Amino acid sequence: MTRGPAADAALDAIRVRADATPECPGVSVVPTTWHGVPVTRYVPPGVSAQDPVLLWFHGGGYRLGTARGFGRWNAGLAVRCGVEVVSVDYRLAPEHPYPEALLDAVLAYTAAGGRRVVVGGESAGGGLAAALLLAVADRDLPAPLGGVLCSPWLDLRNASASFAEDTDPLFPKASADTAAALYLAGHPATDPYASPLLGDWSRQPPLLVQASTTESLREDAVGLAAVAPGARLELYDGLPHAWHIGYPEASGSEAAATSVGRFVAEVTASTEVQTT
Amino acid sequence: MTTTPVRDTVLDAFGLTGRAAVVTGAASGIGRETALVFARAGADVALADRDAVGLEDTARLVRDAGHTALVCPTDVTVRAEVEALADAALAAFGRLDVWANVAGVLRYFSLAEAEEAQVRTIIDVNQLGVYWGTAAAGRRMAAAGRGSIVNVASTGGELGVPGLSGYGMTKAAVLHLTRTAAAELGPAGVRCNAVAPGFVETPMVALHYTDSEGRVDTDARERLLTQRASGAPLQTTGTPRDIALAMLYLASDAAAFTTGQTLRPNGGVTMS
Repeated sequence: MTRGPAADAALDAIRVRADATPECPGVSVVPTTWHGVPVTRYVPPGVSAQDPVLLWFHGGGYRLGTARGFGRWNAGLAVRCGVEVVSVDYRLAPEHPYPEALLDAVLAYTAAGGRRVVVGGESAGGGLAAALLLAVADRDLPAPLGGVLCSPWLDLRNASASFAEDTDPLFPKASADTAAALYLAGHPATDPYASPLLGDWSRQPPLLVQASTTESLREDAVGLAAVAPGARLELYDGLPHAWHIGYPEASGSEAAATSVGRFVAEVTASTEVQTT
Repeated sequence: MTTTPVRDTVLDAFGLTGRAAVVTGAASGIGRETALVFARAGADVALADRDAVGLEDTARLVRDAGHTALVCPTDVTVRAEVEALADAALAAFGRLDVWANVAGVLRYFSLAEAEEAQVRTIIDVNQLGVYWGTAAAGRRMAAAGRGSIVNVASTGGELGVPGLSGYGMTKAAVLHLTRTAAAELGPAGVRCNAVAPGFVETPMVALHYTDSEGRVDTDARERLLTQRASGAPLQTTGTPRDIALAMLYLASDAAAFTTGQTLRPNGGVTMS
């Protein structure tokens, strides 16, 4: 792991490319801060400030990506789910390693206040959302309605069978090991807040967990479904890592996003019944 | 005959494995060393200081040693910032076991000629800063039913030293706040102790031999260290590590029966 001007410049260049602001027709894009944490709100038409919110964490191995850079996907998610999506610009490694991202996640979550919240994310963002679910339960904070984890990175040891199969050019073991080292910065990978797969999932709300059969993180998703009683596992055949974002036109992306929309509708509808 | 492995069980009591600690004044000197020692003892550490650049350097030292640091730029004179620091540590780590109030400033001035701003600054940082920290930690630790607060005082809080009217007054206040906090928080399972260091060379005391452009007068430095060492039975001055290890003892379960006390790593300059 090297740090220095060259490495910093390379990282900056990648970040700038990843942050190209896309179009989000019909959706209000509102940058703001929640408890001091920068977030971008994607508000579809007809949604009010009392309605449920989908608190989202972008992917990028805990070292890349921004809320705005995933704007098209998040805006589409907002429309499809009929809820406001709030994408969190949690701080990134290597400048801000563990637990800075988790702190930002907890702060943003608590800032949602009385609003009913579904949490979610893709890749490292899915891992962060999962860590947030554990942290919320450990801290006796009000529970979210559910969790949406798309290709989540849940075990930073990167030692599962699907990593060994080496069929995933987007997130091979070498990339995962580099990203894990930068994020952990010495913190043990066996801490459930870093590797949520190792946490206690007995007290968790319903979860939708999606992965591809050929991605490195397949076994992370399969493993979570095995230990989380409330998890619904969906495996999609032969698609790349976090295909929803990279290949939004693919049929698997449409199916996966539709499923997310249905899940969010389910978990938000059930509490509306309880509260009325 | 079976025996308990003494070495393991004894040293475990001095460790902080799995604990979460907050250290104020962590950007330099005794605060930085305390953060490093706590981390090496197994704690996750939240680092607080006004000096954000120094904090990042301390965080890097902690992480390079294979441990976990949270960077929390904080002005301890502002109560809301100290409360936010406690909230951040709890949010990030899910627990708060140790709180070390190390942040302090040193000012020499004549009591008779003191300017109001000088006196207020030193009270704000050294006295109120520790007060807000003890309050923020005490409330949260009492709710959890456990915790250890360690405050940094000074020999100057117990000895009358010319020029240290402000500093000494605030450090004496820290010693008494520590006793009061121990009495008030003890029934809730929270300990509060003080460390009163003797002379330790840190950036805080470098003002004695450093000019306004940062040039060190090596002769003046040598004279000061020699003079301070000669006043101590151990004939030496202290290091930040000497103090941090005393802090670790009070922070750890090794001091489970100890509260309201003053520990004096000072080479023997004062003995009671």
